[in-house]
Amino acid sequence: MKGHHLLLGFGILSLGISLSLTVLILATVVTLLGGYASTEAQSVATVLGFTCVAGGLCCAVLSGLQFAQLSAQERGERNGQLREAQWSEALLAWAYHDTPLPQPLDQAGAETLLKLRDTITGEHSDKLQDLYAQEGWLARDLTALARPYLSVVARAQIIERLALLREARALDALSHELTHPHREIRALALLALSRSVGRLNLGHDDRQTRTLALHTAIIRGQFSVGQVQEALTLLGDAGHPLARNLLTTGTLALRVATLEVLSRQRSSALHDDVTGLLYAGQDELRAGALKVFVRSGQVPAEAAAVVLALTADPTSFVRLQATRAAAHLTPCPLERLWVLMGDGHWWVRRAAAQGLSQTPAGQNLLHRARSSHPDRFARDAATEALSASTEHTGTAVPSTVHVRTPWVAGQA
Amino acid sequence: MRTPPSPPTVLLVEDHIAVRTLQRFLLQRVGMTVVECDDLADGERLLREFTPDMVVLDVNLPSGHGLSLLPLIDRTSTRVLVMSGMNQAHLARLSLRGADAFMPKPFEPSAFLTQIQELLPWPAAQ
Repeated sequence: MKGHHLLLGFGILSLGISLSLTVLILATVVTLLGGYASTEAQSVATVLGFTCVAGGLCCAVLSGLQFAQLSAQERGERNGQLREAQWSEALLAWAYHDTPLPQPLDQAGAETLLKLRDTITGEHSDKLQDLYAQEGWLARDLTALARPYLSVVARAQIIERLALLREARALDALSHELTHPHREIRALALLALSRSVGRLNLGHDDRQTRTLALHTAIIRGQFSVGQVQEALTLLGDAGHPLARNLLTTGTLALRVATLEVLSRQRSSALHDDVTGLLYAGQDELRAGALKVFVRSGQVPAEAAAVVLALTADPTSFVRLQATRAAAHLTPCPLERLWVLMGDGHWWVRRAAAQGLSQTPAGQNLLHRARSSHPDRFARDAATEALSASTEHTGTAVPSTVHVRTPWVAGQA
Repeated sequence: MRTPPSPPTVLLVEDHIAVRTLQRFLLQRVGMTVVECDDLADGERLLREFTPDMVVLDVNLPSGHGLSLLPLIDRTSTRVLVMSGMNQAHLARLSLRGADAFMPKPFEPSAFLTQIQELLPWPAAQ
C-alpha cells in the first residue's frame, strides 16, 4: 500500500508541476512581449506564445499518461498480490483439507504453487509438486522446453519454474539444456539441476550420474568460477562426488574455488582428498586446503606433520592458514605457535596468538609472552589476544602471571 | 465458571505473501491469533501499538534487515523466532543474540509449529 501511495503522489506531483510550468511560461511570455507594439514584435510574440502553449500542453499530456501508466502498474501489482494470497489459501486448503481447488490452476496459481513448494519441505510440499504435474503444467513446460526455437526468455522462465519445482522427471530435460548455445540458459540449467539434485532424495546411482554429468559440463569450460561455486553450494552434501572430481581434474581456478566452497561448508567429508593438496606446488591450493581444515575445526592426524611444516612456508598467506590449522592439532603445538608469534607477517602473529588463546596452557603462555617474548611485535600480539579473550569471556586478565614453561626459558 | 485462556497473539513480519499466508494458515489451525505485516515500518508501528506473545521475523525484508526490529521487542513478554532463507551459521548465531530461536527456510510445516509451540505453549495446540 505504501508503494501505491508513493506512485499516486508522484503522479499528482508531476501533473501539478507540468501545469504550473505551463501557466508560468504563458505568464512570462505575456509579460515580456506585452510592451512591444511593432508588427514584428507581435509576430514573434504569437510564435513564442504558440510554442509555449504547445510545449506546456505536451508536458501536461505526458504527465497525465505517466500518471495513468503508474496507476495501472500499481493496480496490476495489487491484483497480482491479491491473486497470490487467494491462491495460497486455496492451495493450502487443498493440501491440508483436500478441499477442491476453486478453479483449474492458472498462471497465477501455478506461480503461487511453486513459491509454496519452494518454501516448505515434506509431505505437503510433495503434494503440491504432484498437483503441478496433474494440472498439466509440468507436461506443458517440458514440451515447450523441447522446442528448438523457443525464445531465450521463455526458456529461461521455464527453467526457473523447474528449479523451484525440484522435480525428478524434469532432470533429463534440464541436463539437455546444459549444452544450449546461449550461456545464460546453460548457467540457469546448471543451477536448476544443482538445486534439484541437492534437495531431491535421489538414489545413490542416480545422484552420482547427475553430478558426473555436471562435472562433464563444467570441465568443458562453459561456466564461470562463480557459477560453479554456486552450483556446489546448492548441491550441498550431494555435491561431494563433483567436488572430488573437480579437485583432481579441474583447472587451478576451479580447484581453488572448490576448496573455498568446501571451507564454507565446514565439512570434513573430503579431508582425505584435500590432504593431498597440501603438497601442491601452487600456493593457492596449499592455502585453500589448509583453510578447509581450519573452517571444519579438524585436522586429520595424517596431515599433522605437513601442516606443521607449512607453518614455515615461504608464502605468508599459506603460513597464515597453516598457523590457524596448527591451533586445531592435538596436542596443540604450543612451542611452534610461540615462535610464530614473532613471524614477520602481522596476520600470522595474530593467528598464532589467537590459536594460543584457545587453551588454558596457551593462555598461560600468552601471559608470559606479553612480558617476556624476545620479539616486541609478539608481545603486542599476545597483549591483543589476551584483551580479545577477556572481552569474549568477560574475565579480567591479571596484570602479572608467573608461568613456568621450561622449553621457552632460554628464549625469554 | 472458569474462563478459558485467550489465545496467544503472533506477529508475522514477512514480505513474501505465500510464506506469510502459509505461516498464518498453520498458526490459525492451532487456534492462535495472527497479526501480520510485510515490512519493517509496519512491524515497528505494530510493536508500538501492542505487545504480541510472539514475533516470527523474516531477516531479509525489502525495507531493511529484520533483525533491526529486535531492540524494539519487549523480551520479557514476547518470544522471537527468526527465519531466513540464508541458512548460514553466522546468521543463526547473530539472530540468537537477540532471539529465542532461528529456523532456516525452506522449512517443514510441522517443525515450524513444533518450534512455535516450544516457545509458546498453548493448550489448544496439537
